[in-house]
Amino acid sequence: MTHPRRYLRLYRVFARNNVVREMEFRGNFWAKLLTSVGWVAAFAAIVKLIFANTTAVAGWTEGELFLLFGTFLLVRSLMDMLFTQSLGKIPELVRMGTMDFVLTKPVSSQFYVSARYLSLDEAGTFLAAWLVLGYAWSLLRLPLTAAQVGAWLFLVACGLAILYAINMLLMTLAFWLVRIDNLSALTDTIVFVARYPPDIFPRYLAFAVTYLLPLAFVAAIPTGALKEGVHAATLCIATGMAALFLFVTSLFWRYATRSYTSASS
Amino acid sequence: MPVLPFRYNQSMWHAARKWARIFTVFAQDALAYRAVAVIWILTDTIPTLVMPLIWQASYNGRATIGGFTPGDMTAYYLLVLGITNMVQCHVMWEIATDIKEGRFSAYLMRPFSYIAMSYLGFLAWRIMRTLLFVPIFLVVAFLYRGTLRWEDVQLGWPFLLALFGGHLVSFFITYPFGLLALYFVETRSLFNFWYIPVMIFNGQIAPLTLFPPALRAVAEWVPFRYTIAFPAEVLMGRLPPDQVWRGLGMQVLWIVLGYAAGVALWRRGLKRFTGVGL
Repeated sequence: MTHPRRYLRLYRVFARNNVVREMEFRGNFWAKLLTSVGWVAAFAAIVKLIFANTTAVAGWTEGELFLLFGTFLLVRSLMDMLFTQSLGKIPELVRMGTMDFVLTKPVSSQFYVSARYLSLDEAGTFLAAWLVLGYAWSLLRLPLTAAQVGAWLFLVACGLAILYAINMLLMTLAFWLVRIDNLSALTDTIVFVARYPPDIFPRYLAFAVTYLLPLAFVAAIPTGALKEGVHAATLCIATGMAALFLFVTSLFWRYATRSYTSASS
Repeated sequence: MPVLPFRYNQSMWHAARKWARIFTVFAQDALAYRAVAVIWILTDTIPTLVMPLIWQASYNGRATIGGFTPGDMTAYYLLVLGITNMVQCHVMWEIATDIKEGRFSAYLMRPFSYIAMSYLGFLAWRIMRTLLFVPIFLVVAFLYRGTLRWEDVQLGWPFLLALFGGHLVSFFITYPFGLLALYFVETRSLFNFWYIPVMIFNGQIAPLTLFPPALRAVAEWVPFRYTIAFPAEVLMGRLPPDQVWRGLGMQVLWIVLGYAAGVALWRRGLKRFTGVGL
């Protein structure tokens, strides 16, 4: 089963199954929606608090910081809707030994552990992201060109790929850190660093979050396309980073599954 | 014949041994999951350590922000982080899991109080987290040494009282909140929402003196300030004596209110509780 059309069909089945499941817990769906919007409001309040006490953070104005925050929310909400819940189940699969069933299925195991569950209840963050972006734009009133918006969307897509890769790399560690059941909390915390401008970090940390664990590509670099204009070099580097990290992720996953010896045996 | 009534003496001894044993079990549990504890420490540490960097980048040549020099600002977040490890209570998750998975019924049959059990579990984890945090604290203090100023720190009785008070306030507001699991089937979203006011008002995000006056007035009266922010302010010598007394009084008030709420929710909740998972 290597044909892409078959994977697409399989994905549709997963998606339908998820919608049905979600419909069963409607109360939970609305509660989740409200909580996500609450968290966005809380962070927006923090940004407001910072700018009540200053006019610029490492050269970023309030509007620019909201632009960064909105872009981060957009990438993260897409990540959470599409992949986070599935990846979050990897430690449990390893611990319970049910990873055996995943590995013996006639599909790519990485596809299965990445895409099995969708979280429609993360839509609250997705909607809030556009509100934040709208607010940022109302503060900045930037004269945007179509090329800038196009580059921003492209970089957002690269950011999503990189965020997926970071998440997947960290969750794959579960094969060795079997007893650690809060890996996804750590992943969450690390990912949240991406909502701050990388310029606030000391030089060695800024380098690390740009190239080693490329969190800067998740939101700050896409935001740059709106803030500073389109640079061909940035687009190339972002594409290269996304491709490289997806490749490394897949290698690491294969290495991990090969050395996996099952919990039940 | 002993001076004290023998029975009384024996039962005191007996109870102390019982609680010591239960504490040991929790401590062993915390020790077994120390890797998990390290990750929880990091989830507190990383966001709290980004904030001083943001402020450092916000001075733009000014000497102070809201009365904080850059050195004070870094010290504030480091101290808050240390206090968080000793104070911050998350027992509602355990309570909800106990209730959902039916372990709660087993506790009801045993000859000790659930709230005391819950507290000992909390205490064991806090001790474990504090011990594990010491090396992290030293590393971070070293990394941030360039922008760190300790001069105002006052490690005296007022701070130790406020710290222990904060530890108890955090437990006594979280415990009755966790008992809501007796009333609602699904509590995950509710619990996640709880952390929003907790984070804003307990001082982890920013020193409360930087807040606009309206929010600061709210912070004065909600319990969250008295868990972490208040001991931190005392430690940094930011509060005049009358404010310290007022804060300690508020801590006592919230401990009493939280305990009363816990008792009330427990009594009414048990009547509704039907023993899921039996």
